[in-house]
Order: sequence, then C-alpha cells, then structure tokens
Amino acid sequence: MEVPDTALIQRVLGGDTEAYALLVARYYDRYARFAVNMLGNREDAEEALQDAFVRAYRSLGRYENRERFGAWLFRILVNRCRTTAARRRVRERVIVAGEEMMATAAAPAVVWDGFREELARALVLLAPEQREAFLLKHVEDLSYEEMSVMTGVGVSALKMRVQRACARLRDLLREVPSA
Amino acid sequence: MPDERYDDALIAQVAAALREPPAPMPAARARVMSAVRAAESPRRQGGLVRWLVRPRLVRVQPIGALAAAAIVIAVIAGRELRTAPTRAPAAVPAASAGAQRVQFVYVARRATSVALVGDFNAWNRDTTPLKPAAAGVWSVEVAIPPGRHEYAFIIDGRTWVSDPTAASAPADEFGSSNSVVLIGKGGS
Amino acid sequence: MKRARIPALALVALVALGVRAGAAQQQLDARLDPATRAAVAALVDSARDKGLPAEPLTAKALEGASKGADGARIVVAVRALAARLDAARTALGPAAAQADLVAGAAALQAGVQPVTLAKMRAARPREALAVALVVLADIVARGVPADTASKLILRVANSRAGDDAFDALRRDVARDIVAGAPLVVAAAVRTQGVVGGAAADGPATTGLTSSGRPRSP
Repeated sequence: MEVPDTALIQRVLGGDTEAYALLVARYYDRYARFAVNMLGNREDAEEALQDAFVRAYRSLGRYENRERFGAWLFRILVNRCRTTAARRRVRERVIVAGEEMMATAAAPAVVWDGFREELARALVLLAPEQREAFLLKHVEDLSYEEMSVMTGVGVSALKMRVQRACARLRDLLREVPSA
Repeated sequence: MPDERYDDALIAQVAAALREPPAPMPAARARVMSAVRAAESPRRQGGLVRWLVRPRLVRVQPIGALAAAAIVIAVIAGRELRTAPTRAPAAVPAASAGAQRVQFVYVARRATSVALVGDFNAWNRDTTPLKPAAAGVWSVEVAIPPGRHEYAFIIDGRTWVSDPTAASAPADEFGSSNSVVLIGKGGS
Repeated sequence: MKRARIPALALVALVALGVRAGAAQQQLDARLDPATRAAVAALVDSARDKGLPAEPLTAKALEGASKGADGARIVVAVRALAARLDAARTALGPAAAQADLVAGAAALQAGVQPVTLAKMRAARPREALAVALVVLADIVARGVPADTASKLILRVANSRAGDDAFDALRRDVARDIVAGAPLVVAAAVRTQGVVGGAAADGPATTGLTSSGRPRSP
C-alpha cells in the first residue's frame, strides 16, 4: 500500500531526507510532460523540474495541508517554468530540415513523428502565457478555476489566452499533411 | 452538453499528441535528490528541528529504488573521480596503440538488461552487455582506443540513457544525448 | 616540460577486448540500405580527400542506424558532421589531432563559435585541446550559454592550468549545478578557482553549495 504524501512529508520534516526521494519518484515523470511541452526541450525541462523539487523541499515547512501536495508542487513547477523560460535564451536546436526529412517511424528505440516535430515548433512560436494556458487547459486538464488559482490570472483572461492559442496553432499547423 | 474543449479536430489531435508522456529521465531524476541532499533541510514551521539519527526503514517502491540507487552510484562516482589519482601512462606497448581499459557502470535495479553502445563497438547493442552485480549495479570493462568517444546505455533493449557521471555530448541530429569518454594518448 | 597525464572522465579500470579495424565497415554494410550506404560512402570519401578523419563519420552513420533513424536523416547527420569537422580543422589548424577535431566538432555543434576554437589554439599552440573542448561542450550541454562558457574556458586556456584542471572544472561545475547553483555562477566561480589555483598548479578546491556554505575540499 502506498505511503500517503502527507506521511512522507512528516518524515522529511522529521529529518528523514531520503523519504523525499519517494515524492520525487511519484511526481517527476508525471510533471515532466508539462515542463517539456512548456519549455520545448528536455534540458530546460530538467532544470525547471529540479528547481521545483528543490524549492518544494526547502519550503516543506511552510506547506500547509490545505491543498494536495501534488497541486502545490505543480504550482511551483509552473512558476519555475516561467522563470526558466524568461532567464535563458532560446537554445538553438539542431535544425535538421530539408526535403529529405520525411520522417518515418521505424525501430522502437527512437520514434520519429513529423507531426510531433511541427507541433513542437508551433508551440515555441506561441506567446508563453498562451502556451501555458493552452497546456494547462487542454493537456493537463485543469478547470479554469484551478488554472486561476494556480496562475493568479482571472478566468476570462485565461479563456482568452486559450482561444488565442488555439487560433494560432490552427494557423501554424494548417499546412501539415496528416501523419 | 457538447464537449466545448475541442472545437475542432486539429486541436484534439494537438492535445492527444501533447498528452503523451516524454521519455523517462532517470538520470535527471537522480540529480534531483543529489540537489535535495545538498540543500538546506526544511524545518517545521515554528517547531524545533529534531534530527533523527536512526536506521531508516523506508519501504522503497521499485522506481524509488532505481532513483536511489542511481544517486548512490553518482555520488560514489563523484567522490571517486575527485580522489582517484590521475593515471599516468604506463609503458604502453606500441602494438596496443594506447588503448585503455575502461569500466562502465550503470545503476538500474529493475532493469533486465543493460547494454553499452558507443562508437568503439559500432553502436551495436548486442556486443557489450553489462553484467549485474549486487544492488542493481551493472558494469562492464572494455578496451577503448585513444581519442574522444561517445556512448550510451540501452536499458531493457529499448530505453537509451546517457551516463549521469560522465561529460555530455551535445544533443544530436538523432534527438538524443550521448556521453563522452576521452582516452588520452600521453606525450608532451 | 609538463608531465602529461591522462584525465579520467569516466570510471577507469582494466580488462582486455580488441577492436578490429574494418569491423565498422562490415557493420555499415550489414545495417544500412544500399542507397544510404552509397551516400555515406560518398561523404566519407569526400572527407578523406580533404584530409578529414573517416572514423567519426562511419561511427555517426552506425549510431543513426542503431537509433532507428531513416536513411535520409543519417545522411544529413553525416554530412553535417563532416562540415563541422572541416570547420574545426580550419579553426584548430591542419596539424590538429583527430581527438581535437572531433571534440571541436562537438563544441561547434553545441553552439560554440569557431573563433573560440581558434583562440584556444592560439592560447595553447602545441598542446592537445581535446580535454578543454570536451569540458566546454559539456558545460554548454548542461545549460551554460555558449558565449559565457567560451569566455570561461578561454580564461582557463590562457592560464597555466593543466588538463587536470579542466577535468576538475567539469566535475565541479556539474556538481554545483546539481546542487542547485545558478549555471553561470557555478561556471564562473569554478573557473575563478581554477585560474586562481593555476599558479599553485592545483585544481579548484572550493566552491559553493546551494545553501551558500563553502564546500570543504
């Protein structure tokens, strides 16, 4: 039976640092998806994830059981993603383009997906607050109320951002042939 | 009530694609605990900090064991790299052309196989399996010729990972990140 | 003359296995389709004609095959590597060792500018640069911006620090980043330690943990 988050937190506050590893194991992969989608590459995502987990660890004494630990941690991560994106210049991806690059899915080791690549490029072109709102709503499946609590932005402003993100994605992705 | 989230099929397709989880990042996850250990411990709000010095009986979930074990080897490796004396070239016979024997280690408690692939074995996943020792520590020793080499590990025949203790190669055209080992030639 | 030492960038121990010449070519024949094989062979021949090393190119093709990349992507990757090797050789000089070229090509791939390679060569005209270049590419891969990392590595290259110092710099920067130090600060502090310590001919022994306490050596 799984040890609940609250019990692990109590252990950590009691001096058992290693208990935090279980919380990391529980949430890292789950939240990696948002970080990778938001920041567009694994390196930045890893940095934001690490920042978030370390900050959450340092602030555990201030964490009050009013919300789920997972939600509290996710809020920290969303903030860290904003900071990471703002602080670092956009890393130049290795651009492998050209008429030869019609990707085909082959061996299981690495899967190439043309649509996924187009989508990654399109996401980067969204304004960060639109990208964030889109991901929280359509990928992480938060309600607008939850998003408002998380981001501090009003519900109608969030709806506007999501709408704009959808419109922009439609424009950017319209030309892509179906995978 | 209609599902207003997906006002068209394209957005639905986008959402589905983005919902896929990224490839696991065991090395990055392991680094988190290294950072946590180095960080200031949290204190209970308004309470005394009680340092418990007792054997820890934490029931570790499988994936937690993986993370914990990977951290251990990273810390041990870090310490070993720091204190190990740098190796002077012994009298290397010309015939061996300066190849050095190198031990590669990866910690993966739940893996059923770990393979070493690199430019020194033609990236062939079958020729250099690591052998498991205790506690999920896998290792193999290989002779590597002089020069800069890239390598990675393949876990369970499908997941490519880099070596958390080694230098990183830049992300490449194949969408992955290898590790680097450099074998020196010696000389002035 | 400085005594040469081999820096350890991986755990090192001893067992024997051989690497047979020609094994790579056999693998290429077995694992690439004919069209890709022909394209790669043409690129390798062209590189050889220019005096560039062939092994990194065949290795890159095999890597792609192993990772399941299709032929087109493999050809693009091999072509791009050949171009980077050429640029590295221009920057590092025609006498550059193969390890220096390969490490230089990787640094270019990471976003380091050719002029940085040229300046490193100017700072150390007769020494191998592979260690410094591997460290440079590594800290850029960890997130230090390429221009910042280049400046820092050039400072070390311009000092009297040896290869050990570069290796120590890499390990210490990696550890500091893991401990949560901001990237540029970690790199700058460690570089200062290396450059300041070069006079005493030792690697950096101080640095910051994320809690701000100096690390004990």
